Amino acid sequence: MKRTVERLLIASLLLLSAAFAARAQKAPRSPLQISAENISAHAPRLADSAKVLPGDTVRYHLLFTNVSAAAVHGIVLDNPIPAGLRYEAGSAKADRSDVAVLFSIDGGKSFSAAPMIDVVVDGRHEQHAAPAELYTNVRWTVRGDVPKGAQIRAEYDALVPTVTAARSSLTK
Amino acid sequence: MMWTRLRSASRSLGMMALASALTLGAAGQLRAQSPTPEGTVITNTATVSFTDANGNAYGTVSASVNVTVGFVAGIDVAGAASVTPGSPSAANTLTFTIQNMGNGTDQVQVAENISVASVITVQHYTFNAVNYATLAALNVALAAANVTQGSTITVQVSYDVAANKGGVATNYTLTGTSVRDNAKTDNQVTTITPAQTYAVAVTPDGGQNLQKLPSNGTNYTFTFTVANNGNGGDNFSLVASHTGAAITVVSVNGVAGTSTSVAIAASTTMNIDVVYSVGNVAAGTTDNLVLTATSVGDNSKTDNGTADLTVIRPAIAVAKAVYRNDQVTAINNTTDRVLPNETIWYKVSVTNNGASVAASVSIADNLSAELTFLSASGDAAGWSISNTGNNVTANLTVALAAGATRFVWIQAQVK
Repeated sequence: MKRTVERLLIASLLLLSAAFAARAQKAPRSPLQISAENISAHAPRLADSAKVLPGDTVRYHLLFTNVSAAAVHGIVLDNPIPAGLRYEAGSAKADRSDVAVLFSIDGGKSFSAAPMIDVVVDGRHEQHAAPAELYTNVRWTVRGDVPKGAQIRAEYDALVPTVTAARSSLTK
Repeated sequence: MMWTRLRSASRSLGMMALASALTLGAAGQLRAQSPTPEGTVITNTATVSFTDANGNAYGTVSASVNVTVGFVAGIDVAGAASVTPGSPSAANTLTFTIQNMGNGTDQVQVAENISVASVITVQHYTFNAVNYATLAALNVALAAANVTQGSTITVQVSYDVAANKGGVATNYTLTGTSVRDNAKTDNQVTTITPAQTYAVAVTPDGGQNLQKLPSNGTNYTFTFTVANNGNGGDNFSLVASHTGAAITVVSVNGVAGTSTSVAIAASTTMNIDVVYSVGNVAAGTTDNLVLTATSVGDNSKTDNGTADLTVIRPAIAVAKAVYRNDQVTAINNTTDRVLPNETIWYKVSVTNNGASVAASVSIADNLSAELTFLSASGDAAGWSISNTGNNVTANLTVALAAGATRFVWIQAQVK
């Protein structure tokens, strides 16, 4: 009798474990992951890998995984550049050729591949390419489909300025 | 994996490149701020949106990552680039500000360097209204003073300036060092140049009553004293001149001609020899030898020294008297008579009526043919007497002082 009870208990535990395992396998995996990497020369010497210093450059890695059962499309990755950081010109890239990158200099209200600013020179208004430090958002737009289980990797670099610039002085 | 620079990709998708037109306002240039403070957590949140094959949109998914800002030291020491205190002067102050340019609270230590010794003497340092006698004491106080990011502390250095240091520049350098990162330093150099005053005096100013013979090849030297009465070393142009017609300047301080220049330290004097000659002018001619010194640093500062001079010459007078053979009884050349074969004596006297000694005085006396030379002698030692027949020569081998008289006796017989 005692042995029978033990067997039942073991069987129950095995069933519970299987159930938990099954449940765990069904938990939806996040399609988006982001990580940060301090790529400054002295970074390896920092005790805390998540620590940055003014003047350092942080490389942000974005990883999109199609965790659904079918292909998806119309993928848009948005990343507001954290306050206090400066986008490093030309650093944004992705691992697919059908990805367009756009930038915003107005907090994400509008995007452009090359945002322009109106500069008054000698009393005349001229259109100039906005300096990278004015960028507020980076957006990756994927034109093609992404099959089930496929990934898209994107990244960009941002500088922790030694002297930051206030974006609040911009006027629309 | 093929990575594509999205910038170039976006160019290829020019239709998506809708330019955003923003205007930089008049004051809209990038405004400088302090560096991101230590401990700031920077959160980066990205989102993704997509649709499925049937066009169904799915909810936006986000993900975040944090990085934390560490400490970076920064220090800026500022102060005056130059100051010009008096010399001497006391209780002068240098004010330095030390700003924490780092991104977290820090402390500072200071060090000083004085490039030229003996110009200034630091008396004390002041921080937070407290005086510290030594730099070490100041640093103890500074070590306990937290300076928050962007804040500034003030350190004052009180110092005295020594005398006679006008124009002597010294650099005072205050170096600040971060306590948390002693590799981070900054310094401010203040050039301390005590204000220079200029003054000169040349002496004597006459009253010497120099009496000089015409040079006749012999130059004279007069020594003036030039005093630099300023508080710093100075150069002086020296010009020798004269007011009359007797003097010709030969050299000044060893330099041929009438001018030269010298450097004289503060509050010191220098003897300047002026060599001159006296022309062949009449006795009694007066002249003034003048030395003019002018400060090069301030040519409005000038002074003259003077030596007054009178030209002198010896003046010899000759007197001749005749006596009977006793050398006492004078023979009046108008009323008395001499007889043939009578022995008589001539007394020939020379008197120096000039103001200077006469040398090489010589008497020549040619006796008349009615006389026969018998003998000659001097009044005292110093005469060299000879004769050729009636021609008598008496040379005084010693000097004839001003006002002095010497004579010789010449004995002759009337034919």
